[in-house]
Amino acid sequence: MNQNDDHEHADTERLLRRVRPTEPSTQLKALVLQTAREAWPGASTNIPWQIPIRRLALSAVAATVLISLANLYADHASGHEPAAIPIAEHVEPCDPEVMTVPNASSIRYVVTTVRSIPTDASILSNHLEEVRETLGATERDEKSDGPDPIERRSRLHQIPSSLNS
Amino acid sequence: MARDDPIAVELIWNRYARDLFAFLLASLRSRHDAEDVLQTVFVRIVRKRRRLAQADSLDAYVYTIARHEIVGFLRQRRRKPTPNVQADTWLETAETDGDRTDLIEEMQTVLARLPQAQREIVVMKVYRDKTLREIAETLKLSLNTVASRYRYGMEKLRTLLKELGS
Repeated sequence: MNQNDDHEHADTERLLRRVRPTEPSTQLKALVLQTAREAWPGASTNIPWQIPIRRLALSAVAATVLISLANLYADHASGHEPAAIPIAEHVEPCDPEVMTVPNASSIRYVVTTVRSIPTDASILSNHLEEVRETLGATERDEKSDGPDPIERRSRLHQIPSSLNS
Repeated sequence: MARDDPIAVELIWNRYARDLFAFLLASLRSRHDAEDVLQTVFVRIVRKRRRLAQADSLDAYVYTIARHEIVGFLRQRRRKPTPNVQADTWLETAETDGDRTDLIEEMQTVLARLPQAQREIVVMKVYRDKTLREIAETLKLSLNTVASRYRYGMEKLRTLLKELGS
C-alpha cells in the first residue's frame, strides 16, 4: 500500500468508525459460559498422537477390505475356483483289516504292471527243459521194457541255444 | 485448558469473546445468528480443549473453529431457510450524540455490499485494531492475500460511501 492509499483508507476508516460492531452482552456471556461448563465433562478424549495412528489403522482396514472385494470380484468374473490350492487337512492311517476289498484303482494298477512285465525266456526254457527230461525219463523206462524203434522217440525239438542265454 | 480446569472457559471468554463476536457479526451480519454461533464455538472449544492446549497457535485454532462453525451455519441456513427473518442490527453508533439509526443502516448497507472475506478483514482491522500480519496469522492466510483483500474492500467502501454522499 502506498502513502496515497493509506491516506484514502484513513478517511474511509474514519467514516467507518462512526459506528462499531455490537458487544457481546452480559446475558450472552452467562449463557455461553453455562453451556460450555455443561459440555465440559463430555470433552473429547482424543490424544493428539493417537489420531494419525487411528487414521493409519482405519486406512489399512479399508485397504484390506477393498483388496478382498477386488479379489472376490475377479474370481467371480473369471468363473475360476479360488486360487488357493486345496490341501488335505489330515490323512487317515491305512488299516489292513479294513481294506479287505482292494479298490478299483489298485486293481487297475496291478493289471497294468503285470502286463508290462516282459516274458522271461529263461523261465520258459527251464520249464521246457524239465518237461523234456520228464519225457526222456519216461522214454527210457519204456526202452527198458522192450526195444521200440523210431516211432516212440520224443518229438520235442531241441531248444535253440539262444533261448537259454 | 492443559490442567483441565473449567475456569479456563472464562479466561478464553475474556481473551476472545469481543474479537470473535465482531468477526462473527462481520461474517453473518446478524446479532442473533452471531450469538448462536458464538455459543456453539465455545462448546466446540471446550470439547476440543486437549487438542487446543497443544496447538501451535491458540488464536489460529480458535478462529479455525469459528470459521468452520460459520460455514456449517450458513450451509444449514441455505438448506433450511427460515421464513420471515427480519434483518437485525449488528452495528451500533460510536458517537455520543444520541441515536443515529440512519447512519447505522447506511453503514450496514455499505458493508453488506462487500464480499464476506473482505468484510471480515476490514472489520478486524478497523474495529478490532488488528494489524494485517496479525490477521494473516489468525486466519492462516498469506500477508499478501490479507493486504489485497483489505485494499479491495476499502476501495469498494470508499466508492460506495461517495455514492451515498457520506
